[in-house]
Amino acid sequence: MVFDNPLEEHVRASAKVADPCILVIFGATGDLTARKLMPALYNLARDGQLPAHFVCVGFARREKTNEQFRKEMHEAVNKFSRVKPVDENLWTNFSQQLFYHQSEFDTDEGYEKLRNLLQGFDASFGTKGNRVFYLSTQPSYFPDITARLSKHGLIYPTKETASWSRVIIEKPFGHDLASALELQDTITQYLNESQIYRIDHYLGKETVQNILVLRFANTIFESLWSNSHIDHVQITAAEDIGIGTRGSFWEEAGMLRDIVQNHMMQLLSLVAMEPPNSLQANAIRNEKVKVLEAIRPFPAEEIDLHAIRGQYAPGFVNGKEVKGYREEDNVARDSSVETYVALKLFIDNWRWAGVPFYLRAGKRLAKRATEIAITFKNAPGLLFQTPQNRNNPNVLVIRIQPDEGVSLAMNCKIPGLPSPLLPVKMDFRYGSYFGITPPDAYERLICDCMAGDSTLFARSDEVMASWQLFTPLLRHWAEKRPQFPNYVSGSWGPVAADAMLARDGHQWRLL
Amino acid sequence: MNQPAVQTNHIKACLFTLIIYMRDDRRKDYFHELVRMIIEKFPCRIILIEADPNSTKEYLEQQASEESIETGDVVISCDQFFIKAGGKMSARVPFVVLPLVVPDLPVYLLWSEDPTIENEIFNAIRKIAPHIIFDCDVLESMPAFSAMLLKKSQEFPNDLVDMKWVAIAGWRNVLAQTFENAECIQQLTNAKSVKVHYNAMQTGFCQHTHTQATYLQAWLASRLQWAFVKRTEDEQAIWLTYKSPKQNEVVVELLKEQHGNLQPGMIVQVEIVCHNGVVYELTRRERLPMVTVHISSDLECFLPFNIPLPNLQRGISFMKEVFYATNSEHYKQMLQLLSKLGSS
Repeated sequence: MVFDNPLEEHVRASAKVADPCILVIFGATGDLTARKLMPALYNLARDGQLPAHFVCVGFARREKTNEQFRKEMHEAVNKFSRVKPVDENLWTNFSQQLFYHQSEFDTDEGYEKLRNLLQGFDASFGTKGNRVFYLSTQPSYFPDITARLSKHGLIYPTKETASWSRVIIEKPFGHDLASALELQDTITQYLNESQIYRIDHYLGKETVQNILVLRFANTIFESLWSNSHIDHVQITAAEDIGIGTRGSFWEEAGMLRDIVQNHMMQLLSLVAMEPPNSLQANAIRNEKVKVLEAIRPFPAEEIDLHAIRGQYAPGFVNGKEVKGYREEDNVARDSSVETYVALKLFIDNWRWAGVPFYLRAGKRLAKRATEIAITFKNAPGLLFQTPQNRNNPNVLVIRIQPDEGVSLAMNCKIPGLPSPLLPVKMDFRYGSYFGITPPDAYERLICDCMAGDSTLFARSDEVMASWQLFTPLLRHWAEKRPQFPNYVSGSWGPVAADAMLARDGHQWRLL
Repeated sequence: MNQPAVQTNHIKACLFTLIIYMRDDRRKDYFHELVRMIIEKFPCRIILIEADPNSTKEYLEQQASEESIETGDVVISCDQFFIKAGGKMSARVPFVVLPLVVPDLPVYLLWSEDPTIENEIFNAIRKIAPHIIFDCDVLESMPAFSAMLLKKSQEFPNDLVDMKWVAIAGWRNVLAQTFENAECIQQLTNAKSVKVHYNAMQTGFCQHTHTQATYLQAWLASRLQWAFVKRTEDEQAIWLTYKSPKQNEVVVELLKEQHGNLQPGMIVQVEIVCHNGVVYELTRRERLPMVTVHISSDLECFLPFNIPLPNLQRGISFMKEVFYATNSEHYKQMLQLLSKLGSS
């Protein structure tokens, strides 16, 4: 029987209650832990969002004491936390729940010791046997870690015990369809889908979550949200930085795998999905996967007209001279890895038939900006259209980063006579209206996982549908050596990407 | 939406209209600080009314100003109106307020006076403010306030929020997390005694320091279906006796403490002794937004643990609770119990 605590009042649907638990981070000495995970945990503690009974264990190969680990994490939080300075009293208290466990990822001994350690914490911290394992390691370790966690009784079958165990898996989930399926097959020997949390940090961003609110809590937008009124959609994920120190990783991944296959497809599915029956995780994910499955495969004969890749050459970003991709550390001097991707996609369903979705993502572009722009069809008739006077289409822009917000461009008469039209903007900015630093995406996602809410995590069929679409393109690109580099750092990408839109009478938005 | 002002990166923003009423300037500084705190988190149009219908002087004055907040490289400004009235002119205040309300956005009324005292400004403004916030520090009688609020909640469609109720939300959450299973709730229901220690240090704007402690015990009593028996009081403490559903006597003690570093009325410690000898000691941590929970009995002593206690006196948690919380069934039941207590 479910216990209904008379002291709890469930009036706020948004308030999630995280269960007591232990979070074990595999790869705890890595960059992600220092930059994102530990600041997220500290901020959750600061905001009172962590469960009262909570322990975090860093699992990594390097020798380290608990004290060393805590000291390093303190420095990391000081450097990367969204709220500074660190509250020393709070940190002292929080750090008492931080521990370090040294072990190789592929030896049984370390897992056996981990199990004993965690059982000890259950007794002393009241964490009730609940576990979250965060796999922040190289993807090649995912199957082995999962197998050993199972072998040593660290992950439990669901419904057999009152305690629960969940695994958060960092991207990339496979590097093509075959490898993703293989990884899925391996880990589902030990975990069922409800225990797997495939993290895509874009989904934790406040503005991304707001897409559903914007669409389904405002009738004015949803009634126009179809091919009857929308001309085309542009989704941009532009960065002005290069690959930095991630040369080795980038040589393996490339832009399509790193950003497009996961983050951008998530944005696309949220923009294009049908209204879900409820806000339950599966209701939303069912609708998202339908969109991904409805995307028209790239036409084999015209694939290069629908997918453009690029690689940055030396140039100037914000007036500073920067290296080309092939001059970066740990990058082959003749590398054909893409740092830019532009795509033209069609969603073959009733709502979106004939509406092109243009996606672009690139490194070393003119500025950092991630946004979704919905361009509406022009007003019918030529009432205000003269050779001197253009009637601009309405554009609804959802800005994901930076300067999160929503803006709507519309035409307005300039006061006086004669009266040319001018596009003006209604602009809503989160930062101006809510004097709150929004929680980092990782804060929201870790908290959701502890509370058992998988809405903002990718389900296996979403991942597979995405790989299904992109694997033929990856294969095509692998067979054909590109003419790289093909865009100057600090520009808006290759000429071929502009030409792709120009053929349809469109152009990329100037951000 | 945004209206660009003269300066670059200068934005005028408004999420709602907040009307604040006070009879005189006794708590003016307190409300100015509160306004500042609110617009830092939620930019809004503020309409501050200082009107005393009983004044022998007759006047009606109006001032407009702008309050600005700097966030990074953006300056956000909010409209502020100050209306002062006395005597019969007070009746005109609603007509001054009405055109100042921002259309299409929510309207909140913060009523800082005793709502049990009839006031025509309240009756007029509550019709345009779907969300009414009471600050019951000014109450003359808590049972009368509770009875009035219950009556009003039936009469009006407005959302009613009580700032002191919001202020104990953190402690309510701590108690819910401490008594998280059926066994613990059973122990609590049949508690022998409950001691609530609170900061009784008064300030100019807070005189009734026992309100939060009274609310917390009344909430517990209403949730656990304790029946009120009697109430006694002396200089140092208030005693309330209840009967549990199993007819055990539960004695609740509200104990005064003096803490200069805490805000007046804040709860410092809750100590619960159960009939089976288990003692729950929940103590607010110094300088940390947490409560340490210590559970012990004659036979065993558990390791203490901490539960976060969001700062509900000020800051974002407070704002969220005040502006976005809806009517609470727990609050209503607590009021029902309080309305039956002797004068407090």
